[in-house]
Amino acid sequence: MSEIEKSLNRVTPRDDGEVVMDRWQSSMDLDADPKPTGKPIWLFACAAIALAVLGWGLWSGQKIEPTDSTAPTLVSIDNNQFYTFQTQPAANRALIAGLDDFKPEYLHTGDSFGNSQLVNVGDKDITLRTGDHTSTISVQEINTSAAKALTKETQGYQKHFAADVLTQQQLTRISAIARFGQLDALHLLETISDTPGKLQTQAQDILRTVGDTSVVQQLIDHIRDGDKKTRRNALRVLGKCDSPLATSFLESLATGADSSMAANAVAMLSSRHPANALRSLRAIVDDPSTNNEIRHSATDALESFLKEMNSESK
Amino acid sequence: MQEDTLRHAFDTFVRQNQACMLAYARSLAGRNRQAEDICQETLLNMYQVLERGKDIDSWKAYLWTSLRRGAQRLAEKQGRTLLSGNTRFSHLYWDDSADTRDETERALKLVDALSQQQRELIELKIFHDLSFRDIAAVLDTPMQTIASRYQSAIQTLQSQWNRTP
Repeated sequence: MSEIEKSLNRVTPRDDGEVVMDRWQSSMDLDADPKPTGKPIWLFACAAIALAVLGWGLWSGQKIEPTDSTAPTLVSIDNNQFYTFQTQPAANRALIAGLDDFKPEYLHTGDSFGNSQLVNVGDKDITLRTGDHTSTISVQEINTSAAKALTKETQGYQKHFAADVLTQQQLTRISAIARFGQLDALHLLETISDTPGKLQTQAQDILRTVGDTSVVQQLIDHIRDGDKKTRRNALRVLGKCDSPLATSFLESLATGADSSMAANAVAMLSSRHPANALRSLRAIVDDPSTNNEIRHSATDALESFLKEMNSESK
Repeated sequence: MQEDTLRHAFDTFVRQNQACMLAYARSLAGRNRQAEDICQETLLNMYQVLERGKDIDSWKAYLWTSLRRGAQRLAEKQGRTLLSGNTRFSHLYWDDSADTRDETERALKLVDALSQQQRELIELKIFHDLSFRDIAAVLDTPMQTIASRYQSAIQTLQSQWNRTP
């Protein structure tokens, strides 16, 4: 060993890294129920022993493959029972299949899921083989499981956000879920976008563009058909989507019969980009079906906008 | 019961590796908060892999590869290259023995002056004690290439070391 290697061998990290342990424990303690069910006891025991024994010193030459964020992770367990999808951070392809109504192109014969292999992909079901055992799972079950898994995953992120340990990658994952129109994820994005912090601006940007026609339509459906909480959350999200469909829907709410929704819609339209807000407010004021109270508040908002613009131009 | 055992074992694993993980993540990301995010994400991934009962032959290589990939993904999203933070090793590592600290500090400054590729090799091989095989897996580069690059880096360092007082 050279002289310089001897010197460098005495090097240790300056920071004890306690923050890593703190954040890890916070993440785990926040997960209400992070443990999948159905795993045999021996699996946990072996895994724990393996970790404790292996520590730093034991490794072999085989190429390892860390978690691939694009890998599907639908898992089948024994006893003829299918368990839910693994949640975060992977599962993208399988979860897409579940949420977007199952499309055969998302899954392929020969794909592996944990210890199982996909042996058939049909329109109504898929077949997996685990060892000598073959099982079939229905598309409906895929959809239900995927929706549940995503809801649970989003709940985990809500807790991470509340504890200020939400990571950049988790925000990306939330936006991926939100792009399927999942309301919890959309609402979480909206909350992040309203909260000062390192992720606020990004969340605002994501929200502005998340609303393609399909997502906006789902939000509109929630506002029309949901319970009170669902309607309120969906409306808050929609208010931050920059899409013509979202704008025209808000304008229709503002001129509609539901005075509470109309007042909310006016408030949201007023907080948009000034040029868009002006156009919407004028349309509301000019619409003969707008009720007087709403017209009054829209007129006030319009006047204060114009006053502001005049003072800026001077 | 089994969950407690798993959690306890993993906590021990985290405690043993936290300082090295954070230092490596900082050298990759260049920013403290992002380095912490990368470590947290990596540990969550590893724990889930363990829960799924996936076979992993080298936890050491797995951990370092995951950290590096996490940093790589983050850098790509931010439109920059990995290691662009150009963090000085002499800020991340030190010799905690007062007797040899000055000498080690001098060696670290020489490492700081190496190319990014060579610095990372030194970091993985010497500071974190990875084998050439593991480093080859982490950097996705043939083992022979890794070994020769390492020797070249050491020769450069040694010649600088001999030249400076």
